[in-house]
Amino acid sequence: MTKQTYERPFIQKLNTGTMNKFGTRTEYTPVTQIDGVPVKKIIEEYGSPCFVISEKTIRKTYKDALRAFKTRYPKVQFAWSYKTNYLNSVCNIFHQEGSWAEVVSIFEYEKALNNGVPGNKIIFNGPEKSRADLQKAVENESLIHIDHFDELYELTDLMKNIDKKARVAIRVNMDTGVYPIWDRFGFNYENGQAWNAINKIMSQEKLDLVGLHCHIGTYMLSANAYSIAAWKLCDLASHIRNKWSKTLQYIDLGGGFCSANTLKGSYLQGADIIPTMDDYAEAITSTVLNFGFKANELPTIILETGRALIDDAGWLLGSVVATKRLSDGRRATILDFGVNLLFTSFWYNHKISPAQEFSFHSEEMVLYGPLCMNIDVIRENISLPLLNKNDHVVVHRVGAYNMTQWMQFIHMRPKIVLIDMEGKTHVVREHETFETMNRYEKNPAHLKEFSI
Amino acid sequence: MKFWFETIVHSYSQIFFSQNKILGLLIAFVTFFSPKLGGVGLLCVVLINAVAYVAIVNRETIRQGTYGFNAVLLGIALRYNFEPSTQFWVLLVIAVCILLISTVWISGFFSKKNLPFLVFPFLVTYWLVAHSVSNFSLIHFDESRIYEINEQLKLKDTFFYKMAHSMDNLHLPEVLQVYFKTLTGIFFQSSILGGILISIGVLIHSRISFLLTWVGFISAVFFFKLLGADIEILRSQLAGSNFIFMAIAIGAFFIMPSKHSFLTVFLLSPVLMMLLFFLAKMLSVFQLKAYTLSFCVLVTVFLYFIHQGWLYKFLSLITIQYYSPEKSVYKQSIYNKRYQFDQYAKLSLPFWGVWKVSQGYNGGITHLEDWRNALDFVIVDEDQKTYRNEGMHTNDFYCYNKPVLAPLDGYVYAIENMVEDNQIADVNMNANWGNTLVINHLNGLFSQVSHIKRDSFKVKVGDYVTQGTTLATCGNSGRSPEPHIHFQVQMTSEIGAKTMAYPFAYFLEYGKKGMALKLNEVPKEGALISNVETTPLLKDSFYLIPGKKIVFYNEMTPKKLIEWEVFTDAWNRTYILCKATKSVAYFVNDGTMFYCTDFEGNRHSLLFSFYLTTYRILLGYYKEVEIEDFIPVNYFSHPIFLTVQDFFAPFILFTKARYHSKVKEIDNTYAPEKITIESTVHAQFLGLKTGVIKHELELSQGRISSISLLKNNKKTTYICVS
Repeated sequence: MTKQTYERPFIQKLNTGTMNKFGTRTEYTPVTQIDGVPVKKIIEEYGSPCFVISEKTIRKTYKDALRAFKTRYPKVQFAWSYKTNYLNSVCNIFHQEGSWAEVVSIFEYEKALNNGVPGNKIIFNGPEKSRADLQKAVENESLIHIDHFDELYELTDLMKNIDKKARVAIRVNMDTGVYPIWDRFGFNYENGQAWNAINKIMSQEKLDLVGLHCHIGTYMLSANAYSIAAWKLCDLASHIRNKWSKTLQYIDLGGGFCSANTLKGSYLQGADIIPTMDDYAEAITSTVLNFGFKANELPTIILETGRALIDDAGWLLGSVVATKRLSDGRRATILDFGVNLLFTSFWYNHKISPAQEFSFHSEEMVLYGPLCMNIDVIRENISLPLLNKNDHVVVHRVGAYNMTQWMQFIHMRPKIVLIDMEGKTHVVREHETFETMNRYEKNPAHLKEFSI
Repeated sequence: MKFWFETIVHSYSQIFFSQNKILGLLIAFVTFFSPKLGGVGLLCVVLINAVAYVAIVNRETIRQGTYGFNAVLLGIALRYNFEPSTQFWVLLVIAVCILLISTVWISGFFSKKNLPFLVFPFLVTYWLVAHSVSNFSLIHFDESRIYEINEQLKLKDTFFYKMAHSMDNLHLPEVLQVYFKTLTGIFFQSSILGGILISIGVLIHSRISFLLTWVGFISAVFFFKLLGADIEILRSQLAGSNFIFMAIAIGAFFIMPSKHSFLTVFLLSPVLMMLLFFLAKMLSVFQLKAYTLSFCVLVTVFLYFIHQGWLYKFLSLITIQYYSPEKSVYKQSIYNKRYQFDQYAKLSLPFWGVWKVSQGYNGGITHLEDWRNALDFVIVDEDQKTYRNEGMHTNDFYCYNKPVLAPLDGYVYAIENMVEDNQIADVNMNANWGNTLVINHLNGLFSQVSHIKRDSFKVKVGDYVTQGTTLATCGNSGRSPEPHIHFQVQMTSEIGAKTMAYPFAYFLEYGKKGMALKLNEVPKEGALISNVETTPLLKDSFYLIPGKKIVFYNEMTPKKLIEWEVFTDAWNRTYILCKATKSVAYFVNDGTMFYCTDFEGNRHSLLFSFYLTTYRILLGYYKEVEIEDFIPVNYFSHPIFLTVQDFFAPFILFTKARYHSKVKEIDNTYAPEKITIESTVHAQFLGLKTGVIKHELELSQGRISSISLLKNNKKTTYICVS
């Protein structure tokens, strides 16, 4: 028998509540390995903190999502939302699975081109596209999703000098029964702005309206909202069919599907309340199927879901820097990653597991990051076993947004490791160094030297 | 003018079951070895076709020589027997009219039984005339026939006589002499040269027919000698020609040339011999000549026999008559495989996306006995699991509540919607089929889908549903331990009727090596399968309906237009006609596949390129799917290889033409605006490549925009203008 690890004794306040026969005991499942690779080994090899991405999980999640739609509707196309995670390796896994690219800036656009995505399989979204960006998109026959009239006028003006047709769609915002209404992207459906934009486009010879797009929100807890959105897009499509005798190629429902992360303020765990991919698929496909299109005129459904496809496939590994007791008696644990790396901790209560065995005793504590800033709080209140310095923790579901919204602030950004289908690890992004940051700085000559 | 030329020449070549012009001219030439016979023969041909031209609507049958070939024989036979006089000419005209009427009547009578009329009209007419003539005192027998030696002396110095008999003194083996004389004997002549010319004509027409003339003749000689009959009989009264005609008819013309057909010819020879003697003796009582009656009787009876029995398995009947045994072999050997399922209704899978066959035909679990030809479908994930989470609830199953589609157009015949879904692992043995839907696809075809979710029906009894319509959703009702779809095809309407094995026209199977297109197969147990989704541009481009005109021009010569038009014939076969080159390409477009079924005409025409390019095109885009097929070799192989192959064609095919097609470029998958299809044909001789033809077909704006021919590093492009 191995020697039991020593744990300090502690006093826990008794909370009243409904009695249950299990008492207040909390069981932890320590996460000692990811896809068969020991967490300890990853940290030893690649340092702490460190992001881990599982190729297996990505592919499985993607296939599950595709199956949910494809077994309900014949024409479905996913477009990988670059902003969610634009690591080349991640994008290419999706592209290998058949995803197109959905980009929202010229930087992402070029990233997609650089990854080898054919121009006509890139969807160009976003509210900001310069004249040069538009020109590039037209030349590459990309799908331009027009966000506002100024963009439409810019494009119309631009097309005068181009001997080509631009493939465009409009972004439509609408009331889907979910509040607040996201009305900042595109043209409004209810007040006729969208219809106005459509007519403006249809009367332009060089603009080829091929689809309709909407981005109704993010982390949508109601699948029914998509049903309403799909119906409104179908309605526009059928009006276009009637007025202009033009059959649209696709309707793009955007993204916004939930991942199983728990939102701050949510009483229940995320996994228990979010709609499943099947719920979303059922809501969207049955609406389009029942709308009354002719069998040969069914539009392709494009989906730009990002979060729901990648969140589960990312983990953040870190270590305990120190533990301390706060003035009010609460326990605090300081970790070597903070909001600089875990941007999503601003809105999620991330699930965090210890990476090694503990006894079942736990204590409420606050998790701080390493930044010398008051905002650097990972979890304000979490019940974890009594972690010691140098113990490891694993943060779950960090695949979406963290690797694109992370900050270089005070600390450098760490390595990102991909575990492939065979369980082999690959560094897919190196950690930053002092040199990384210093390279771009320029010091005027008179500021080069000083003596204190 | 051309019509009349062809009509006359075909009238001659038809005697040897051919439409070869050289053969026709050679025969006509041989009949003129005796100018008086040849002249009357030709006169009869012209006469009957002229009368037919006035009296008969279908000019094509006239052009094929259908009415003419009996007339050749009749004219020659009458002139051979009777002296020309005014009365004779009158008689001749009447005889020709009788011949035409009897041809129409006999062909109509026999065609009901799907049998040919052969030379029955000639025999009937000849007997009629020959018998009645004895009462016409003003018509006399031709004495030159009776006083043969005198006649010979009289004609000895004439040009035709000299030529006809110029080779008679060659010291040929007896068999050869008899063979050649038998051939000329058909036209009441006796000439070695004539026989040689005719046999050369037959050889040019068809190597197989040529072989068969020998097979028929040698078999006859063999059995004559075996049974001690005099082979000189073969030369007289058209007796020997019976064997030759029978050999061609049975060996290659009505039956696919094969080792079996050759064997049949040999085995039928003694029968024919006995029939010959029997009929000659029988008819001699009535003072009638049997001539070619025995072959007509035997062929007719034997063909009738094949229609009824199982012999067709070895002796397959020729369905499309090309008047060329070689073409028949080359085309039909491929067509038999290619179109054996064309009569079947084209079923599609009753779902969207990729499903797995969880229980196939003869599944062993529930697909037993009368219900053995049924399929169960479920959805699985990468780990072959049918459910997510614990799988304790129907909702955990991937296939639960997924749409079920109509496999084919039809009327909803019956709906059972009374059974609740089972708990997982429970089965409802009382309501075996659970909620079920039966569709009547008409023509005695029904399909049944079972274990549907209660109240999920989107159609009602009596609705007409088209292929792919959502019917209901998958449930777990009836004898179903976990959600799945049960699908079966049946011949009667009852729920749970006896099942029938029936293939799906097209589906994709997903294996370790990627996807493969399956045609007319029943998916196997454990296979992952999906329907073929079509691509709009491919579908639009190949939507060729009768009346559609397609115009091309060569890139180099934009002013010279090539015009095609789409037509449909009496058998509802659609084809593209290129008037300028008189070429025809038959095609089928069933909504999932476009394929050319036949080509006749000019091999240097653009239409031929089109035929090669679109021999088989899948109307859906799948990157990994490459279409393969075989094209009849007669279009490709080198002439020398092909001639060698011709002789062996009934026995073994060592030349091949392989066809491949795939989408080379596509601008986007779901709503493409430009697609380039690449097709390749490899000609092979004994497995070695002897030639390659490549084509590229470009589609845009919903139609074919250009065809390019790539040959010897040269690219010739034809632009389609409308």
